[in-house]
Amino acid sequence: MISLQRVTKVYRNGTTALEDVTVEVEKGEFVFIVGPSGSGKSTAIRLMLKEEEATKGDIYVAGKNLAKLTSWKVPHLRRNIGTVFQDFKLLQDKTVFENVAFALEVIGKPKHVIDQRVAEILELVGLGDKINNFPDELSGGEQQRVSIARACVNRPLVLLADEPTGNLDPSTSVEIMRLLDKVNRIGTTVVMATHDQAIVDAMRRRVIELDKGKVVRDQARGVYA
Amino acid sequence: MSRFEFLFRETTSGLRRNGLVAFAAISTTFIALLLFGLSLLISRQVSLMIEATTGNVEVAVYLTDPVNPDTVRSLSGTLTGLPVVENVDFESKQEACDRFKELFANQPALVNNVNCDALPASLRVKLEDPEQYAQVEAVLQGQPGIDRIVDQSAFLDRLFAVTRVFRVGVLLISFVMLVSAAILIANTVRMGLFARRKEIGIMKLVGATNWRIRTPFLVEGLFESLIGAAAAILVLFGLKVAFINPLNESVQFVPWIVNSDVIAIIPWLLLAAVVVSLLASLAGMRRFLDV
Repeated sequence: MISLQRVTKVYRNGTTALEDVTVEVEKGEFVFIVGPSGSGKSTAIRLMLKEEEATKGDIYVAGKNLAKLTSWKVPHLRRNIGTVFQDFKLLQDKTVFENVAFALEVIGKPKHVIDQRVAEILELVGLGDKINNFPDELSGGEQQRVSIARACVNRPLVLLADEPTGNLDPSTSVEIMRLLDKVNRIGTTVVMATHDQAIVDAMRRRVIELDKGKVVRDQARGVYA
Repeated sequence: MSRFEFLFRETTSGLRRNGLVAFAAISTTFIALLLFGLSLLISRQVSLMIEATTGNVEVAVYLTDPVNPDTVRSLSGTLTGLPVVENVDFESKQEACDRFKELFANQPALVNNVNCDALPASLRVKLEDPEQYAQVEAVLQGQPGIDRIVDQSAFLDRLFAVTRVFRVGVLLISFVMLVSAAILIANTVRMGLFARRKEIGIMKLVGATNWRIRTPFLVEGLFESLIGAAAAILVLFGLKVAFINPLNESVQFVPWIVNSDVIAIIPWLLLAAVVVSLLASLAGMRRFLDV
C-alpha cells in the first residue's frame, strides 16, 4: 500500500530530514512511526501526501509512483488518503456536520451521498448527537473525532495521522486510539507518527523508529523504545 | 445542484468578508468602464457629426454667378470621367440656402441677416480616395465658371485630429483605470485566499482539484467586475438622457447618438469587464495555489 524505497529528503535550507529510508507498509497494516522531534516523522507523512517531493528514491502510495504523478493528479491521490493532525484543522465557523461534509462537497459528491455518508461516519466516531455543534463547543477529544470522521468519510485506503494525540490528555488519547483501531479493523491502512510512548506500548503494533532521518528499528508488535 | 449551492455560498461569503476592498474594486471597474464607454460614444458622436456637416463630401467646387447649366453639365461630365471620383452632385443656390437655414435653424439672427443670394451654387464631389484631391484640382484648373475649389478633407483632417486627442485621452484614462481595477480585483482575490487559507489547506488535503478551489474566487472577481459594468452601463444611459436628450431638442442640425448607439457598446463593456476580471483573478491567485 505504501512503499518508500531508499528515500532521501533534503530541504532547501540544507537540512537532511530523511536519509536512505526504505519502508514497506502492507494493505490493512497499523504502523507507528516513532522518534524524537526532528527525526523525520512529519516529513515522511508529508512525502506520502506529495506535499513535498523526495530528493532521492521512490515513493509508492496506493499503487502510484509519486515522483511521476503530475500535479493535476495529486488531488485524486489525496482522495485515497485520509489525514489527521495534532491541531485538528477544523473550520470554526462550520458545524460538526458541515466540517465533515466539506470534505465531500469539495470533491463534488452529490448531496444525497454527502448526507448519508456524513451521518454514518459521525455515528461511527460516536458524535451522532453533536452534529449541529460548532468545534469550540466540543472537547479536544471530540474535535479530534470530527477530524477523523472527516478523514474517513470518503473511505480512504490509507489514513495518515501526524501526532493525533499530541494535544490530548492520556485518557482521551486512549479513546482516540480505540477509534483509529476501529478504522483500521474495517480495512483502512493506518500510519501514525507519534512520540506518545504509553500509546505505542499499549497497542503493540508494528513500530518504525526514526532517528536523525534514518530507520533505526522496524519491529512487528513493538514498543516505543 | 449542490455544486452550484456550494459555489454560491463560497462566493457570497467571500464578498461579505472583504466588502471594503470589493467595493473599491467594483467602483474602479465602474469608473474605468464608464470612461471606456464614453470614449466609444464620443467616437460615434463625432462620426455622426462629420457625416452631417460635410455630407461625406470631400471637395466642394463653388461656381460663379450666374450659373450656366451647360457649364454644370460639362464640369460634371469631366469630373465623373475621373476614376478617383465616386460621384458628383449639383447643389443650386436655393438648395445651398435651404441647407444653411437647416444647419443654423437654432440661430435665427444668423439666418435672417444672411441674404440667400450670397450663397453660391456648387458641385459636391465625393472621392474614392480623398488623398487624390490634386487630380481634381488639376482637371478643373482654368475651366470657366469656377469661383473656388475647396478641399474639405483638410477640414476633416483637422476635425479628426482635434477629436482624436479627446477620444484617445479618454481611452487612455479608461485604460489606466482598467489596470487599477485589475490590481484591486487581484487584491480582493488575494485577500480572500489569505482569509481562507485554512479552508484551502483542508480542501487540498481532502483532494479538491485546483480548479475547484479557484472557481469561487474567479466567480467573485467576475461578479465584482460585472457589477461595475452594470453600473457603468446604467450611468451611460443616464448621461445620454441627461445631456444628449436636451441637446436633441435645442441643437437639431446635429444628429445626436440614440439609445441604440448606447446599446451597441454594451457587449464591449461586458467583454472588457470579463477579460479584466479573469486576468486579474488568475494573477491574484497564481502563487497561492501550487499544490
